[in-house]
Amino acid sequence: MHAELQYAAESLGVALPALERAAVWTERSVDSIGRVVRDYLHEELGDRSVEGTGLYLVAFGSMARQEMGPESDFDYLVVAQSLTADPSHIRTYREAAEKGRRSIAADKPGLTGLFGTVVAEPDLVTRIGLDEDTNAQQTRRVLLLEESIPLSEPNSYRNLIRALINRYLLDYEPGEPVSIVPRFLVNDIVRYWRTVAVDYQAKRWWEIKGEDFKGEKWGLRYIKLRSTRKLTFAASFASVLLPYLRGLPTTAELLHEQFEMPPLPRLAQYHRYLQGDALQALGAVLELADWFNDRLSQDDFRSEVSSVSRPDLPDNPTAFLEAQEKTRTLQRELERLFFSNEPLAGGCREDCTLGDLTMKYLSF
Amino acid sequence: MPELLDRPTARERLLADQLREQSIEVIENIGIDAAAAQLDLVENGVRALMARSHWPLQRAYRVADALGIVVPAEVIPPTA
Repeated sequence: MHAELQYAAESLGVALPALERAAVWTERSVDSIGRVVRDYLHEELGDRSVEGTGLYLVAFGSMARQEMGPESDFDYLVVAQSLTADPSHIRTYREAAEKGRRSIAADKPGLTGLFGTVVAEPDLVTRIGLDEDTNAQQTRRVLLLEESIPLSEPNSYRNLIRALINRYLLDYEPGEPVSIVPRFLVNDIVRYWRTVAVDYQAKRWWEIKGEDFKGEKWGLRYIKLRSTRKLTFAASFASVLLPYLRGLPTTAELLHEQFEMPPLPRLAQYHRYLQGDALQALGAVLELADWFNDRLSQDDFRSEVSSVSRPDLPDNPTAFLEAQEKTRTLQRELERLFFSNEPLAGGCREDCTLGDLTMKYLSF
Repeated sequence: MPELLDRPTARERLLADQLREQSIEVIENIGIDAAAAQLDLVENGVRALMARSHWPLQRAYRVADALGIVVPAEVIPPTA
């Protein structure tokens, strides 16, 4: 388990057994898949696989969040640094990823076409906003920041993340960095979360018409939206506020450090600065994250929840009703945490609270 | 029997569950490492398979076939 999450769990006196198991599972899977990918690329491309192709592989989702289980799928992208001289290399990288996926018996990337394809670095960094920033483009970009890890070429991957963060910070005052909340980045993260929530309703519309949305089941999507996806958003919001709350210059280095951590450790790090009621709320949030990870790793739970097509029916399965109630509790605990007006500790600035910033940046 | 593979039915689920049970029994007998080699999976892949309560029929067929289990003729896809 990530050191920050472990430290927070010990400090808050909460047990996170499911997240511990998931971290072990993830580590084994990343090791295995990384080995399979490297071996395949070396076999097919020789030394060119290291620097000669301008391509690399990035994994997303539970693998990047360190929350994998036996049921996890494997979402990846082939990232092209520039125009690829030999397009057959793209196929080779996709084959490497597919070979890796099959080796851990993971399901194929979802049918939405978001993953399992090739994307270009300049598009990810420069096309933010306006018409050409499509739903897929925005999703890939924000997930790259929030929950991704490299499967090959870690230096190229790190350069991409740094370039993306620099893009978000580009328009601030030149010279010495100051302590700010980077509103452009906040807005893109908030925008993505709202897009996910709106798209959820669009997919629901298909189901109301009697059609499945690309094979996904409503009940599971509903629970995931209100648990893991919400937690990822909360963790990203927490990360972009932190430099300002700590009174530190908001540099690309500091934000990069933040987004190198998986979402839950980024949220958990607040145990260093919170006090009283907000600290208790953080403990409750982490315990709930553990509960959802445990349930979502169980085949039977997923099947039962997937079978639900309407939230309001009285005879919905107990597993669904329990999970629904837990999502409501999670909402309350997140509100208790993020709207806390208790002063922060650990050398943080004294003139504002987490509640002040939440009010300011999540309302107007 | 291509229809059997295209559309999930109660019969398909039953066949998949039977093949899964037989496959897990074989895996437990030969061990994870040997099973990983036969299935062209890494160790975690075998554990992931075993942890899933249900397998789609195509997966059940592929795993059972790779483990040398005799598969009912109606499960074998036309291209196999």
